[in-house]
Amino acid sequence: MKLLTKDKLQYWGHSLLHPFDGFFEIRFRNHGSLLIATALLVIYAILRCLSYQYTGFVMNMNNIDEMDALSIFISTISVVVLASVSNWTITTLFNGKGKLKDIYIVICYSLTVLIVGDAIVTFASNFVTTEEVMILTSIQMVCYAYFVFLLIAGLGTVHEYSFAGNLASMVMTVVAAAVILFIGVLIFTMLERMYSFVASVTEELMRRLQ
Amino acid sequence: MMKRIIAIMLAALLILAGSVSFAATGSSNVYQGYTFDFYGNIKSTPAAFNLSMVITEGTVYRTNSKGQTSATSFPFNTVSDVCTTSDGRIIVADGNPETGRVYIFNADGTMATIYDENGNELTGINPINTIKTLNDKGRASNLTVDANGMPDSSTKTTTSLKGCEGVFFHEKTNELYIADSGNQRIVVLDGTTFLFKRFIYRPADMTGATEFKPAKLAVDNADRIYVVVKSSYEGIIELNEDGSFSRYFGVNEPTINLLDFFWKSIATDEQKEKMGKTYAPAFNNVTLDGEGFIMAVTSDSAATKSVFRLNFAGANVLREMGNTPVVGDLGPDAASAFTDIAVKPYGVYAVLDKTRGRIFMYNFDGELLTVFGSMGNLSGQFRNPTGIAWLGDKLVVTDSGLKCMYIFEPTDFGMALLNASEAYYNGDWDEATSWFEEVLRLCANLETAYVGIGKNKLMQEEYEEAMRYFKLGNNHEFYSKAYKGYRTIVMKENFGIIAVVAVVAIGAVLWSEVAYHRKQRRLSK
Repeated sequence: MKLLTKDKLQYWGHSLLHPFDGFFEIRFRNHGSLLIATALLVIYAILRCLSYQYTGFVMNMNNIDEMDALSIFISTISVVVLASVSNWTITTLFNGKGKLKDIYIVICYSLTVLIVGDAIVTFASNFVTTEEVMILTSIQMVCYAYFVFLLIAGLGTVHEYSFAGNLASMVMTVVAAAVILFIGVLIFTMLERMYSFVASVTEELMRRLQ
Repeated sequence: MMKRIIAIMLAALLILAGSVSFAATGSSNVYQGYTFDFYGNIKSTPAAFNLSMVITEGTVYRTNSKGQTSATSFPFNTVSDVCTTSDGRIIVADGNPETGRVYIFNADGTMATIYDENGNELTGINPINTIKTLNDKGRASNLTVDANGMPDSSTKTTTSLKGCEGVFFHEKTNELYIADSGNQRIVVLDGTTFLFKRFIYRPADMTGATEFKPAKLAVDNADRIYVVVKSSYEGIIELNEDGSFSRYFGVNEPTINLLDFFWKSIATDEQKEKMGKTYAPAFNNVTLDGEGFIMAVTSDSAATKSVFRLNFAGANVLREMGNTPVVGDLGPDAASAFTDIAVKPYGVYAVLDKTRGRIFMYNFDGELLTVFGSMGNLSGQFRNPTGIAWLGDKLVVTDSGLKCMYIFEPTDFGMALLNASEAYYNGDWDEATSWFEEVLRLCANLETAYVGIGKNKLMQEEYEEAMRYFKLGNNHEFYSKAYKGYRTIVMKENFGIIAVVAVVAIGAVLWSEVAYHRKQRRLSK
């Protein structure tokens, strides 16, 4: 089986310009590609690192000495994964038609807009003065707005939700993400305590046995 | 057993040592200085100032008619304020609540000898305690006052300073103003003989709830008197030359806490009455800068700003062009509490912080130059710093906890900083650059110095060099200005190439349109 076909690439472009139609095809006629989605996510995460460092000095307020590319990369990816999982957990409860795969594809395909916007801004910011920074920030704002539009259109289509239901599910997604984070932190803390408990018991035993 | 006894003795020794108020009087103390970068990280600098003198008392030597010299010493009680005169004298207010003294020191730390107008020595004046005036024989004698505290030669009541907390030397009229807080008045003395000139009591027409208990004061070039009263939320009291009330000045803005606002908005009137009121933060100290603006500091945690430069309308016009705001130490739990400020004629100001015993030096643009000083009991450290003043390029700082006065002299690094700032203020760009280069030779961490050099390069239209320095100094705004110049030059030099590329691009787009339509037409035929 071919992982990447010309047809899937075409539907990637199609879904960006005609999101309702495109994401419908992806969801119900299997025109989506996990490979393209993951590639986009990785490209976006790399671009975040690049824009941290290579945004022009006029716009760049980051301390490059303290840059940690790995944490930027991982946090970008984990935000997308967390959003997909929490959206899936909510929508399965509320009659959403989308599968985890579809949600992931919608979010990652929508990232294309942010990739284009960030790339333009990062490159062009090296050639602007303070007065022209506004132009770049407005380009960025337009990209973010279009990204949100794609997300709403895409998620609404794959779940077959009404507009209001879609918005409600997105708000609930944020709540679910917070709950997941909370439980995650809880588990980590508990594991840490268990580890330190076992470690101290072991040490105690070793000392007594000696 | 022996070990235990030794340990107990050591512990006792440590406890005793802790209670000794002032141990060493070493001649110098090397400080570690630091500064903040754009991101608020601490960057170390060399010491800008070294301790050169510690003064704990004023000793008066008197020679009697037989030629014998006797010394009387007046130790400091509560050193509350210090000011300096242009001829190099240091005036210290020592305001214990029961009594009060004002010392006049020479620059070398000895007590000044006071002469009258004819050049005859006046004895018994320095340190000032009882207010003196000239009698018929031309000698200094005690001033007598009536029941209202006004001068009256018919009574025998004398009057002395009580808990004086502030002094200000007004160069223009050669007068010494003393904030005589315990007596709720301002005492004005002659600046040469230190004899009585006039009293200023609470003006009859003064409005407001503020008690007239002057703590600190300043007098501007129009002889208006600015009086700070401790914990007054109505602002600085401005008095006219004749002592009549003019207005409250420079009311400080309190921060508004969103949570408080929410609770107050839903509280009933009775509940509101029980809640604490939000008052405008009180000023701690005032002084005048070289341009005649009032500089004031506050340590109130409710204040949005801590250093003020007030114009005539009472608005804050402090320049904050530096990479960090003028707030002292940065960070959430590092809030500095400023007690005093001293300004050079060229705008470099030093503010004294009592939470960590720091002295912060900023230039007139509000760029941080250096920070030094610490809390402790060693000589050169602070326990409760109260006043700061410039004595030429030296700094005089008083401490009421250690009951002493320090004189700090600038190191090579400190001198380079001061000279660079002076040249920069006066617009001597080349001189400023050479001093900033000296600063950078001694300390490569100071962003202010990079920015200073960058500005000179920008003036000389050396844009690439300017960009390099602004990048090192982390100044985004000026980097953008330099880049604008650089970009214009690059565009001019390469105009031919850019024009050709643009024409080719436009041509290609047009050609593709034309070709497309031709093809369409051919197909439709």
